[in-house]
Amino acid sequence: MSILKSLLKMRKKKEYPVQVEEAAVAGPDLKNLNLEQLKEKIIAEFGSTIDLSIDELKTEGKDALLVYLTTMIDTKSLKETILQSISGQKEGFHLSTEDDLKSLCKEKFGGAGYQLVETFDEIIISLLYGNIIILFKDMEKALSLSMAIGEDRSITEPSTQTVIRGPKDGFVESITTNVSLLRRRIKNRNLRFERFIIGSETNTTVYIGYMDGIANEKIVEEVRKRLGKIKVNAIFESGNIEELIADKAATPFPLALNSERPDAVASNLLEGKIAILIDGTPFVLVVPAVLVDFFSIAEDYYQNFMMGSFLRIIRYVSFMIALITPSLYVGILTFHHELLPTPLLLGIIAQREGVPFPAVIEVILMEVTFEILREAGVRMPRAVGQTVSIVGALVIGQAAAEAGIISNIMVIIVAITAIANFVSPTYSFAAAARLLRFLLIIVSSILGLYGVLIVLVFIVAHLSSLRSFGIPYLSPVAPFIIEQQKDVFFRFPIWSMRKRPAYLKTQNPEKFPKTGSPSPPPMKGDQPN
Amino acid sequence: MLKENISLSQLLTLLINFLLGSAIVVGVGGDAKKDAWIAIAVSIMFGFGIMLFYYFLISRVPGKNLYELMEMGFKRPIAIIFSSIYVVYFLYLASRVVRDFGELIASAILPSTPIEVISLTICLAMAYILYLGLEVLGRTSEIFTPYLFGFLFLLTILLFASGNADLNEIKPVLGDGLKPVLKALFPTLIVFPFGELIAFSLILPVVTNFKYCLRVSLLGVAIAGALLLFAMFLMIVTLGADALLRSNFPMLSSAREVSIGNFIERIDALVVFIMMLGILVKGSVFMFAGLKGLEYTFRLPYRYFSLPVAMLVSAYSVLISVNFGDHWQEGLEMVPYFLHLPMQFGLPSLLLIAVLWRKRKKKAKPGTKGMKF
Amino acid sequence: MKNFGVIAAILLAAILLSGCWDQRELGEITVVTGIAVDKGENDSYILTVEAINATELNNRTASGFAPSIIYSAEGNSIAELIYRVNEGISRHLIYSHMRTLIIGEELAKEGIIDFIDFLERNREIRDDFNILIARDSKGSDVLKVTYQFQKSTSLKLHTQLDTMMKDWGGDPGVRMNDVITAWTARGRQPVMAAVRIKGDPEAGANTENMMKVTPDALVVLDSLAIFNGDKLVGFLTLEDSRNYLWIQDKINKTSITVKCSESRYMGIRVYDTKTKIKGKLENGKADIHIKIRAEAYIEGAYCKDQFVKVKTYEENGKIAEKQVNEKVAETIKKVQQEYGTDIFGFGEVVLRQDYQNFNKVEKNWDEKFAEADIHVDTSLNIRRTGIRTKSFLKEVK
Repeated sequence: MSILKSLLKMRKKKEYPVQVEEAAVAGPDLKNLNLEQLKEKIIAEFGSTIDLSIDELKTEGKDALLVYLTTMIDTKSLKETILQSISGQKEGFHLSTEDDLKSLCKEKFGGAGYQLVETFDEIIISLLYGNIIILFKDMEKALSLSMAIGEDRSITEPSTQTVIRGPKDGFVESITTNVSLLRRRIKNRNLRFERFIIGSETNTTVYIGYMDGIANEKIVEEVRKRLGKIKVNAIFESGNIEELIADKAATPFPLALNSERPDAVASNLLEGKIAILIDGTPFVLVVPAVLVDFFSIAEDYYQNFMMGSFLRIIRYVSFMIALITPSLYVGILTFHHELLPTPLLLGIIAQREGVPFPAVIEVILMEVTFEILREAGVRMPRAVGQTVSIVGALVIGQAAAEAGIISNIMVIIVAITAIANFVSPTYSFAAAARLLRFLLIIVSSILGLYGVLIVLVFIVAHLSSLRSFGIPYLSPVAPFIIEQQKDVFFRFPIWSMRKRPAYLKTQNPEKFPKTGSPSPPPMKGDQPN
Repeated sequence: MLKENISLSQLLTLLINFLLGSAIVVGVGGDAKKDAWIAIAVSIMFGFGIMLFYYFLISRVPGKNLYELMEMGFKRPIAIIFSSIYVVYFLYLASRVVRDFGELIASAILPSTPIEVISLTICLAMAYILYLGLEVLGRTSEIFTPYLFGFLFLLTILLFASGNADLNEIKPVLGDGLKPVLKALFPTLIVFPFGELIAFSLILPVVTNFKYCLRVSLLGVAIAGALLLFAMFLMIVTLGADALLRSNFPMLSSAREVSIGNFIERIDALVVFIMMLGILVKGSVFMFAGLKGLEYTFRLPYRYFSLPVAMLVSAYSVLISVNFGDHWQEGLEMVPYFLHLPMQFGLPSLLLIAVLWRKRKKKAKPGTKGMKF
Repeated sequence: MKNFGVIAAILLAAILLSGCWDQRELGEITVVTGIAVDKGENDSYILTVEAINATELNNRTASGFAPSIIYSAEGNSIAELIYRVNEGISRHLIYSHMRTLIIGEELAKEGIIDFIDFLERNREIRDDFNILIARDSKGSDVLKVTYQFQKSTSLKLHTQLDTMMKDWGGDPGVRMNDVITAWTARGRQPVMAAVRIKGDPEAGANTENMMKVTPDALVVLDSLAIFNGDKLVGFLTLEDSRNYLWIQDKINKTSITVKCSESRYMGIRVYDTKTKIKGKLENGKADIHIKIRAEAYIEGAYCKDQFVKVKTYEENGKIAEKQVNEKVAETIKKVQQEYGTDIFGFGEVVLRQDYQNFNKVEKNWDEKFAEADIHVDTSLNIRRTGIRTKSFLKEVK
């Protein structure tokens, strides 16, 4: 595992800014080739791509080649800084040995993030990452300078996971910007980032970030191992990574948390979790993820703890509503009429009078219609997005009910399910409810509420068997940890949540010393304690 | 394969669910009529004793379960014979539990759905849980236990709020003396549910913190006993002793009484679903005990057997008796005497003696035996 | 065993696709809200069901048709008849929402109400319906009378009796279990509420009845039917019925009229009351002590007294206490003398408090009941007097 070895070595070096270091795969060394051969070889590697630029120049009395990809580098700074400092010759200086080259670099590019590379493959990868390469004649090492253009989307409010109170910045596509967003939140020397290059064809940069001295070393090691094992050709989004490093593939539940919010990721890092940042996507993965993570959001901690707890309970309730309401509707209306109070039952019967479909068909019909509408709403160009909601609300809901094809109560059921589904703070988790809902509906149409419960038992058993990086998915509820109940269904005041999650087995289980609740200054006449 | 472990809290919830499991469905101690709750209160004491006995047996050799102890006590060939008997016993009990539940569903919720379907579905759920392992069983039971408590609490409040519970019903206390209480105690109340704790002789050895195991087990027996006592008390005050005796499923009957403001009523279907969780745990524990025996005999991971055995249990639960009366009679008149007593007390006592004897022999010759360790 | 999922899925599919046994679509069912059982002409019973036309009960969808259909079938077992009525009704009948069971007087007198076993055994039928006796008429006639608000008599009766019980008492609030318990218990006899059709039963069975300000026929709560064993033996008045409830500690609230001086009365509202009964056997004679504690306020005082002094409150309280004592004792005496059937459950009280002695006299408890010593002791506290203290009446007269 050469990748792993190189990565392990890399850890000991400085963390940031990270530069291309030893290439993953060994290639032919430079020493066997002269400049002409190198030039031909580079041209041969890149073929006839138009953005390859190879210029010959002479520096310090030595012939050299300046190689770069025009589309990947910042031409302005190339001209301004590099060419100025590199052209011309210093008195009495001859670039002949490696030490000469080193001292030259120290003098001219000290602090600019230079690097010496020695294999051909390293050169190629450096070029692809937006470095410029200067190859000197008769030298065993080439100079690689980072000059990548930093043209990114500016930092905007995240489009998912919005909050009312809380920071409004979100991750962007550039990984370096994302790292800096995290650094700015956690000004701590123990924040570590490590780099991986994943994807045999895309060579995507992936960072893992964690707090040294807090995060469980075993889990960090496990993350490294799993990332190292990935052997796919392309990584475009965190979803790709998520699927490839999950403990179990056949599950509708997400085994890694994704977030667009730097504050959320930062707080998770401080809990002892590990962030995985992927270049080219604003979604950052956080592992290990447990079920309760998908119900708590950063805003819970920004507002009053009572409100935070209330909203969290609302989220759990909504998830259950989104999951089981349609199947309860089918189960109760076709099997357990006795569960409804008489006036309600009579009301529903009166409404359903003349509806031609059995309840289950009605529910599936409407749920599928709603899913179609929803998908259409997401995929449609923004400009016509409005139409979808109008068509959806008006045509499907009202007209169908008026035509007597479906009952009014069905529209209510579908609506409440949909709204409850939107409450889920993490899209990928809500997706699980969307899928399982249909299974529940079908089983409940055959076995009634008994069927619903059987399926729920299967779901709970499945959830209990899941693990995310070895951590049981249902922690801290099962296995039960009493201390962590402060942050599961309720959000206790911050001063009382002194412990990091015990199930993560962090190196430093305490967040801060015991302080007790804030109290007012003693009143006149109060006995001082 | 990683060694399976369950935590103390999981052991606790398993115990509670196990003991409540079918006992709360069919009701226990009915022979004592109005004083059934006294019978249960007394039986908790016996429950402690039984738990202590099994713990004592298991803790002789740490980390070894019932079957491995038998190998130690009697040598493997005999142990295989005994363990096969236990496998049959446990799986039979699992089928009885499933049948109890099947009868409940068939008579209360889904009258025209074939009982085969009910058995099959719940057995599939058990098979799935056991296929995922004992840990998953532990966690599942941990998840469901709060609902059990919540339900009992809610039911109590609702019954008292709707004025169905009449505390006068328990009077006169011990009107006919101790005789009916003793009749209910021996042997039915002792072998069911407490004697069935023998199945835990396969779970106790894998508890992580064995040191606290005894304390937690006793606590589990105490909580389950208290809940059972409370449930019985609740049933008596709501239904009255007479209706209680006539009910096939007294808990269900009491839940049917709830009616508040013409809105919160008819919650019995929900009650059934909560009872299902206890059944699920109890059936799974028995099935696990049986599977462990197969694992011991065939030296293959027990997960391999989970699905086929579950199907067997499901089929057997249907074939076990021709009608409800048969099922009832068998459970009250045959099983306690011919199955429970020898399997719960006879064989384990024999085993304990054998194990103690072996240990003494080992101690007597420390020189030769000590080499092996 | 990698294939667990596959095998499980196949098995599940096999089960699930083969049928939905207990499924009943809403479009296929009709809710039965009330049944009436009468004595049959040839066979034992005539069962009458009231099946609701839900569309008519909903104001938005109603179009003026009859709110329900009433159909009768005759046979020897109610258990069979509840399905036999489908000979005239198109949909599956759902009995889980049954609100009233009306038993014809004739049937009740003959005492063949053993069909209750069916009701107790059936999983669908619950213990939340009123059991009523149709006094002087057939049960089926009671079901047929329509009513303005709830349109169906059975729903109306259920609400009506409930309201009555909460506001005044009078309906014993008897449910099936109470009847069964009374039958099976040692030392208690069952009671049931009795209703009567006021007006013309024929006209009542018409939708036009719903449209009138003074309906042609109205079902009213009439009295308390008392039983000996399973046989109806007689009726008590509503006043007695209230007193019965008072003894049973089932009164929520009630109003009493107290005579304070000659032809002057005051209305007292009792809002909180508790009754305790103590009973034992002394020298073979039952000795029953009934202790009633009540909180009340003045609702209307046509007496001369002005409620400003503690003494006035106490005095009036005393008068009320005395009257309650008399009335309650009167009710008990009436039952003791005329019917000799222990509907109050005094036997049960003695059983609980004096078990050994009760065992001896259990066989002839009814005689013991008839000659039992009854002591009623009421303590009634008048707490307040509405939003006025002095009455204007003094100034007028």
